Amino acid sequence: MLPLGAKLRELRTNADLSQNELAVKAGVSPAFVYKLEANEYGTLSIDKSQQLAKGLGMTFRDFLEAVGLLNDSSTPKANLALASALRKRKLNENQVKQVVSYVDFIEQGNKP
Amino acid sequence: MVLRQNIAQERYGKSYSPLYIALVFKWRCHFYNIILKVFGNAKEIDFPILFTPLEQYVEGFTVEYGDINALPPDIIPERHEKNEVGEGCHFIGKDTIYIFYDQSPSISPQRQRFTIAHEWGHIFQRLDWDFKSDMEGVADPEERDAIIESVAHHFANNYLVPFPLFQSQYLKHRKNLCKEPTPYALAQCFNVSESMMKICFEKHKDKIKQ
Repeated sequence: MLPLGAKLRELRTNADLSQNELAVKAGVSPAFVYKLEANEYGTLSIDKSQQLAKGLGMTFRDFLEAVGLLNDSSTPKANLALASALRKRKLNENQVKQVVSYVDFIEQGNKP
Repeated sequence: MVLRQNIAQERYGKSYSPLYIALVFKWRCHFYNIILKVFGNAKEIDFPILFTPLEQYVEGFTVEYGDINALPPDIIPERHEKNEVGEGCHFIGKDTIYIFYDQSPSISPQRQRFTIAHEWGHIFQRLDWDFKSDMEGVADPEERDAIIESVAHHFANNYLVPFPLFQSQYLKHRKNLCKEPTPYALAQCFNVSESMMKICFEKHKDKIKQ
C-alpha cells in the first residue's frame, strides 16, 4: 500500500500550505485533507486527485506521479483480489495466506 | 473495449446479483458526477460534444488517438475472441494517453464516437483509486469484468448525452416543432446513433414529462 498520507503532507509542505489553505484551494473540506494525511483514507477518487492537484498548483499528471498513482496500480484491496484468485485455484486458506505472505515478502524486497 | 461489454456480460451470464446491481449503480452515479465536473472544468463546450473537456481534465497528459487496425493483434488479445472484432482499446503511458478505435469506413462516426467515450470511461476508472479498490474487492472476476464494462458503457452514454443538455434540446425541439421530438432528430443533434438515443428517451422519459 502506498503511504499516500505522507506523500500528500510532503507535497503540501513543499507548496508552503497549511491543511486549511490546501483545502480552500482544492475545494475540499479541511477534515478531508486531515484524514487523508492521517491515512484514514487509503484511496483517492479521480475528482479528488484532480482537485488536490489544482490546490497544490500541479498538473493532474504530475500529482498522480508524485503520490505514486501513476507507477503503482495496486490498491489496499489488491490482496483480496489475489486471495480470491488463489481460492478459485482450489488452494486452501492456509495456502492462500502463505502465497499472500510470500508476495508481500517479495514486494518488500523491491522497495528501495 | 466495447466488444468486451458483450463478452463480459455473456460470460457472467447469470442473473444480476445484488452486488452487481449495487456496484453498477454506485459507480454509474459516481462517474456521472465526475462528468458534470469535467464539463464544469471545461473552457468551452462544443455541441455535439467533443472530447476536449476530458482531455483538459487529465491536464498534463498528451492524448493521442489512432486506428486500432494499425496495432499488432497480440497487443489486444480480446479483439479476435469469438470471431468478433473489438472496436477500441487504450493505454496509459507516463506522459501520454493513447486511445485506439476502429476507424474503418464500415463503422459509423456515431459508433466511433461511442467507442472513444467508452474508452475514456475505462481511463477514468483506471485513474480512480477508489473505483479500482472497490473492483479488487469483487471476488468473482467475471462479475468484476461485467461491472467494469457496464460502468464504462454508462459513462459513454452520460458523456455524449448528458441529461441537462438532453433536456434543453428536447424542450427546444418541442417548442420549435410544436410536437414531441423523435429519437432520430435528437440523435442527429447529439451526433449519436438512433439506438443510443432511444435508450436515452427511455431513461429520461419520466423526468422530461415533469
